Amino acid sequence: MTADDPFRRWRVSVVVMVATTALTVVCLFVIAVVQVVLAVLSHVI
Amino acid sequence: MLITAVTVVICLLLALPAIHGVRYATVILGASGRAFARAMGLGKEPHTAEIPKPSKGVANREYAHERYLRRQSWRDFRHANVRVWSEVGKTVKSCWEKLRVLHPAQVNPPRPEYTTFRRTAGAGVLIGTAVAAVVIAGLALAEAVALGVLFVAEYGFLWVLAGVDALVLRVRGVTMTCRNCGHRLTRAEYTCPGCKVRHHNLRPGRYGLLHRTCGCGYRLASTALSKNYRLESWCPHCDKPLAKETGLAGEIVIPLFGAPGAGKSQLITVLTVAIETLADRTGGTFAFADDQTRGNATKAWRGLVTTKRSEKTTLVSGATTVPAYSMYVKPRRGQMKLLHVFDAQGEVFYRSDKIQQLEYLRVAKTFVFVVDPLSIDRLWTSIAESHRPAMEKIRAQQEPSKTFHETVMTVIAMGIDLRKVHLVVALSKADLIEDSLRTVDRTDDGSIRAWLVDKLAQGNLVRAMDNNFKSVSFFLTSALATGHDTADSSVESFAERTLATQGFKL
Repeated sequence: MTADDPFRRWRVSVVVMVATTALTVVCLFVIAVVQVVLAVLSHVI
Repeated sequence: MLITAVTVVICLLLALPAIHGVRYATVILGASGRAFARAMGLGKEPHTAEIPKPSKGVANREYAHERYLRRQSWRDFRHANVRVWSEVGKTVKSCWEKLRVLHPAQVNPPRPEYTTFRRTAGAGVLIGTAVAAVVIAGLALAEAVALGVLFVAEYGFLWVLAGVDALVLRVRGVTMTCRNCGHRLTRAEYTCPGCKVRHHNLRPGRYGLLHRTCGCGYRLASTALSKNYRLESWCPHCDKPLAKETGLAGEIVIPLFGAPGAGKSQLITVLTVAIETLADRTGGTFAFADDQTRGNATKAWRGLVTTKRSEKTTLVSGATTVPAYSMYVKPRRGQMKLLHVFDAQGEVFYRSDKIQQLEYLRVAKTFVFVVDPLSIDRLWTSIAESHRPAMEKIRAQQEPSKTFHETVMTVIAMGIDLRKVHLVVALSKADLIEDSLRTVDRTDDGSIRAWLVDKLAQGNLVRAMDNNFKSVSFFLTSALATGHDTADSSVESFAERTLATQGFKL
């Protein structure tokens, strides 16, 4: 990070915002996949 | 049993590309995440979007960075997306390359299990790329929406902030008056402590809300809430410095007027000391609001103590008004005030065009009219002839009624409503007319008034004062230093009651 960046805080905030959103999406996706797999297995077995 | 086993095998066969897809999606998302972070200035090798350098001296532009959400956020958004999608392309290409170039052991002789692996992995790359693209596009959309919402919210907040700032100043009674030209200011100009560049319009707007970043990188407060009054401030009218921390406290503006030689300057010198003494004695605080006032007051007081006389007020070349004596006074209980006491050359009050240049008359709620009793013929003729030559040198030449009428007529012509203004009349040089004051109770306003009307034949003048002003009070003052380096008690009393006309009690 450049020391003379006047928008340092803003940029870090945007990265944190996007990272949080991405993490939430991934978590939701994983939960959905696990639920589907469990549902399939419960039908099959 | 067989059906179940076949189903499981089919599921596993279908799952293999999916498992590869998840793996490649993770690789692509990881690479694009790192690219995004670098594009936003994080990491060891940041590659941020260029920030336009503010220019100095451009019309209607300040030497400051525009606030982030106004333009730079969109520059960053575009830059980050270009970098991220470019990284996605590179990562996908790299994955394909790894699949295409196989180890000779895998192809010579050809082994079918590797062909199956390549096919499922290839499908995995396609699935992973598609998933990653959807996720990245979704995140970009979410970022754009969030930035848009913040942009709109910031505009709303900007107006709210400006309103709250103005409201707080109003509630606290904060005003800004130039101590040099006397103009009441709606906004001041501020100097950046980092590069000394002047910011002409430091308030919430295109360059920031509570703060702005100067072109040199210094972060400046832009509202009273964020304490912008701590910056060095300048008057936009006369281009001269304002008193320190103008905008922190409410103000009391007191102009003095009177004929040349009436004793205005000497009264101000002693008045300053009297206010300091009163503040100290009653548990309050006193501080000069700027170095010029401190220097002038100290010099004038030393001169008065040494020579018993004050120097005549002179104007700096090109100036139209004499800078005020500005001081911060805080009573033991109550809010601190910035007190401006304006002096003027007595000659100014001969000419209406000169009086009109005294802008501070427009904002003052209390005027002080300094009258030299020696300039009243009735009193002058009552003084023994043998004493007159010594007094002639210090006597004001013009009768007070002439100065008063000239000033009042001009002030009314300026559109100032004197019915809202208090008048305090300071009859100076009381120490020189002890004999004439034998029958006068010096602490009684009515007694001084009666003396003026009955003994000095100033009935017309007193009536004119009563008719024009909201209230009129009279004081006999001896603007002298006592042996204890303090002000004469008559000036202390005068100071206390003059400030009380504006609700300020020491």
